[in-house]
Amino acid sequence: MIEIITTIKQVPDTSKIRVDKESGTLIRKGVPAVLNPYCEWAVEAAVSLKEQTPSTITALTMGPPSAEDILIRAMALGADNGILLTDRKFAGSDCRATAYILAQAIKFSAPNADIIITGEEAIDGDTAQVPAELSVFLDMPFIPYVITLESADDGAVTLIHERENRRERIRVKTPFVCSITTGFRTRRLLPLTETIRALSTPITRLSATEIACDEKMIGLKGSPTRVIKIENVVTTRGGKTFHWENRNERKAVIESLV
Amino acid sequence: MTVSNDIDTAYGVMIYVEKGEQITLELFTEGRRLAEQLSQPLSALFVGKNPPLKDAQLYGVDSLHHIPATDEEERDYSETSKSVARVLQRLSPSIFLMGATKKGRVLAPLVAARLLAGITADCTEFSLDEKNNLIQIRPALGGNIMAHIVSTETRPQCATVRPGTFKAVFAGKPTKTEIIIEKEHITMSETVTKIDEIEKSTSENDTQIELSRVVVAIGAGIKSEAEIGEIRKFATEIGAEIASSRELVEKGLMPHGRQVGQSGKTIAPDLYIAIGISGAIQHLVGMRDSEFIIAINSDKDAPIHKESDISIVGVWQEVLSELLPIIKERLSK
Repeated sequence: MIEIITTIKQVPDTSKIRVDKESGTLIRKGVPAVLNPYCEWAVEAAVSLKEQTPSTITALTMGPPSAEDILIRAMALGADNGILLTDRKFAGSDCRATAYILAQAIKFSAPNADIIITGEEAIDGDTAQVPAELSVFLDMPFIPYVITLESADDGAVTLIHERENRRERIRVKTPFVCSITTGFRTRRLLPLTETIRALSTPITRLSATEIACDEKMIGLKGSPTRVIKIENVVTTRGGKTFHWENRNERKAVIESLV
Repeated sequence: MTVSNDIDTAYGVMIYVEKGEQITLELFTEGRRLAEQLSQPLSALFVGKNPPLKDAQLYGVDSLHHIPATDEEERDYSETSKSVARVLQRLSPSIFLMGATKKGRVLAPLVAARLLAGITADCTEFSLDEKNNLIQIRPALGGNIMAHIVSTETRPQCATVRPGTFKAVFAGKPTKTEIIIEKEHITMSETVTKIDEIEKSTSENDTQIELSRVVVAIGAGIKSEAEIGEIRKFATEIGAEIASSRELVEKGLMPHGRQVGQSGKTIAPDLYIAIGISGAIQHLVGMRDSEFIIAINSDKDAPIHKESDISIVGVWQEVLSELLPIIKERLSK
């Protein structure tokens, strides 16, 4: 039996964020919170490995109580359990603090985990730093840019990953941390029965104390990086718009290009 | 794990060298600017064989630190990061910069975590505050905002930089760069065994859209392989490379190597033609430095219209067939 942990994140759907034309500020209202697509692929990768080799999959996330939604989604996709790390002390954690907290949770609840599967990055931060940092805190090797996990046997996993300009199939001894890169995958529609099963699976909640976090390493105070200023991005180019249907405008645009 | 360096003794700017990559020269240039402003030295760290001394001399690097390694050793990110972290702890630079390349985006956070240091990904601009802390500026939230970030309590201040952000410029006159061989070696771990290589990436995926002067980019308004085929024909006719926004990559219709935007490439061609791209800011950050932008979108409210020099509200098939000869003619001049 292989023990798989997938670390996942709830994110705002950044493609739905718009800028208020009057004030130039971001309109976050009504922007849905979703399971980060890379994390969804991470869960899918875990599930596909489970189809090859008997495994248990635990989805692990840090966030507010509402982040349970993505654990339910992960379980509907095929994860067996869900763990929510939720604590006010976690608020304001940067990449290093987040990686540390996830590592503490894994050491506490799955000390014998074989594979930690992460998504390459989250679409709200786009840093791709947490998976690598997590591997350091767990003292495990890190395999980035994984496309598929093919099979597992004898304490090793065969997988395909990307190098700078090619793909390789490699065998990696467990335990290790890997990150799943963009693949050619489409989001699956889930059968209702799976969602119902997920909804009736209890979710474990853990606090900072329960996973024995050093308070100097977590939250805003435990984060080495600090955001000191946020600027809205203003679009500036503002060229001319022509309506193709309108003959005069069509003529004008063609003339302007000739 | 080692420990972060002391703030008071950390000194100098260090660049991680990826040999043969333009980003290294860009980082030398920006690193030199910061080092001069701090009145501190600029150094470089290279892992591998044959350190690029000439580049270091031409771009004003004071010392080039070399960790000898074979290609195989250097390819093991986790093990390499251990050696690099040890060297950084010994040399104690105040600032450590790497390219946000495929390798850099992995190696940099591995190194930073080993030093318990703060790190900022994909920076597009740097400045210094009154206490000489590095202000690291990067897009966030899908490029909707620019965040200014500092690490005041840990050293080195680690950051990765997007290729193409800074221009590589020679130093005034060649520097007498000192080469220092570091007593380090990379222990090959026995964790990974290579089995075989799969399909060399096809030219489709491999292409360097960032080198093309003319780029035709497509987005969610393009619905099928057949439509992509039509646009590819148009692109070939005008001698352009074809690029994509995130949606088509997620649908599997376009390869990631051609994705432009926050999680793809940043490009600045002479002419960028955006077809069926709505212009979410996450895409705009990857192309808005283009010299001239033409957008074609049937949705008159699409944000892309505001980020273009000429924008056309219309059905792309009709527009392209009429514009093809005009653009072709124009580009041939």
